[in-house]
Amino acid sequence: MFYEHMDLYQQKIMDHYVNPRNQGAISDADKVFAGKHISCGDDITFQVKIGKNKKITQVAWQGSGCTISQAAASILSEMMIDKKITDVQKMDSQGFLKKLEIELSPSRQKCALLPLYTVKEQEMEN
Amino acid sequence: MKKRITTRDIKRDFPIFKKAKVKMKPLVYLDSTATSQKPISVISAMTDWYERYNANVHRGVYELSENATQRYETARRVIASFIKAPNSRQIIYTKGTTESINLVASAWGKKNLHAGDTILLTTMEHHANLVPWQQLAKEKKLKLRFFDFNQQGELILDNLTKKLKGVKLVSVVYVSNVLGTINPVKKIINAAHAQGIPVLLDAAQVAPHFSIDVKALDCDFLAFSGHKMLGPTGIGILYAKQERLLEMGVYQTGGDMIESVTLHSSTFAQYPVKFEAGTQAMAEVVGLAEAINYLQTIGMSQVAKHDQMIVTYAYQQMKQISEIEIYGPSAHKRSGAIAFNVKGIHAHDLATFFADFGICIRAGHHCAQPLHDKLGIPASARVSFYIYNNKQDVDYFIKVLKNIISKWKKINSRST
Repeated sequence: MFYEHMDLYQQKIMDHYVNPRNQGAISDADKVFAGKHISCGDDITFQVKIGKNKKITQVAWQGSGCTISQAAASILSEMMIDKKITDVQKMDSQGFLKKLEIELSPSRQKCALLPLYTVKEQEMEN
Repeated sequence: MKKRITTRDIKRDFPIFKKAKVKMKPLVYLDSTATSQKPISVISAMTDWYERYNANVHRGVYELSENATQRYETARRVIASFIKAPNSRQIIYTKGTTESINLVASAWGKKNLHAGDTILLTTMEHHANLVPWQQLAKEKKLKLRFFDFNQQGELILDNLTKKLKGVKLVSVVYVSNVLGTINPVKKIINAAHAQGIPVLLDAAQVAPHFSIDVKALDCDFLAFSGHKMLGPTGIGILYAKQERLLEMGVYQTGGDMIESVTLHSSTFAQYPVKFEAGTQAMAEVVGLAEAINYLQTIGMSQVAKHDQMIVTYAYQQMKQISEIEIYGPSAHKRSGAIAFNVKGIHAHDLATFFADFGICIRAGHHCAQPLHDKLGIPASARVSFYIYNNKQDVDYFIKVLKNIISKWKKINSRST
């Protein structure tokens, strides 16, 4: 049957879900970001250490929820290293979504953007 | 001539299965608890209204308006007879179940409930039968009390007399849109009435599937929506006993619901028009009447039989998949919807995977957050069935479900 050959999600998302990068905790974190998606039950917490010139030297995250939100957290965590928090916060939603290498419906885009909005410390618009 | 619910006949009456603007065909629509698809006759009835009848009702003396009024009020009689209401004047048009309940809270609740009174609900309520009462409770200093449910998704009705102490209104869901539980509402109504307490039934998930007899039920209020029973959106019904209608203040005010108006005061019309301010959704009313006609050509007992058959068929197959957890009672105690989770797969991912195969299921809290809190889960997936679904739909759903589970397992076994 045709459906037997269809992939569940594209490679990058599944890879980051199954093998998440930077998962864990930092005991002496300089800053913590926490975000939640009440309607989905997704949640993400980032902990970062900041070095000279305000750049992130270490990042660890924890969370639970759907594949998209967790994989996006893993992908974002890699992008955060060696950047200033403010630079990460300036990241544009569309640009971030492109990095996930997956076509997402508007409702799933909200899951994917949870990690970014968590670092931005902003609520997502409906 | 009675229409049979044979697999192919019924789907043919629903244009969306051929015309849906989706990439994956066939469209396997398993989300009727959210909204139902519409037969061509309902769609045509509304077009027909606009093409041949449209005029404001109760207004003009010209022929078009008289015809319109007749069509509109005939629809009210059709709806009354559908739920065996004693009088069509006891049928009030609203936007839907949600507005029906808001109407009761506002027009009946504000006048008849007082500080310290208790409203009795359940923990499995849809937000429509919860939030309006929370608001009323805040405003009027009322208390809220809840029937809870057990592991099987059935209401715990022990110590009924004690539970009803101080209660001035019971408002319960007849069939749960998540658990599918068919609640023993007659038992609740009898107990409540023995203490002079009125009862409201949220019948949104009943009207599509079972025949309703408000006289036999003896409920004080009953609410349901057109769009869940083959009818259009934007139309719902509140039925109320005459005694309750006479106890009600006004809801929305303005045109049509008045008798006489001066600059500083107005007198109001009698029910039902008293609660129907402004021009109503006339085409939608006619659409709902046609939906009822359509259902009656099949026969509500056939509709109910089909519901039982297909829910049981799906339930039994899902029960055999060890990774699935189903919420709610066994097949013969449920109707319409089956909420579930697959171990290790988030409900939203599951729904997305199914969507890729053209299968429409819902994921989330289904407008029942407290219910999900009680179940201890952030979300669930939900399949629901209606007259246009057949065994082939269920078979395909099960095949794809097993396929998703096996693929998921393979992918996750690759973790380093």
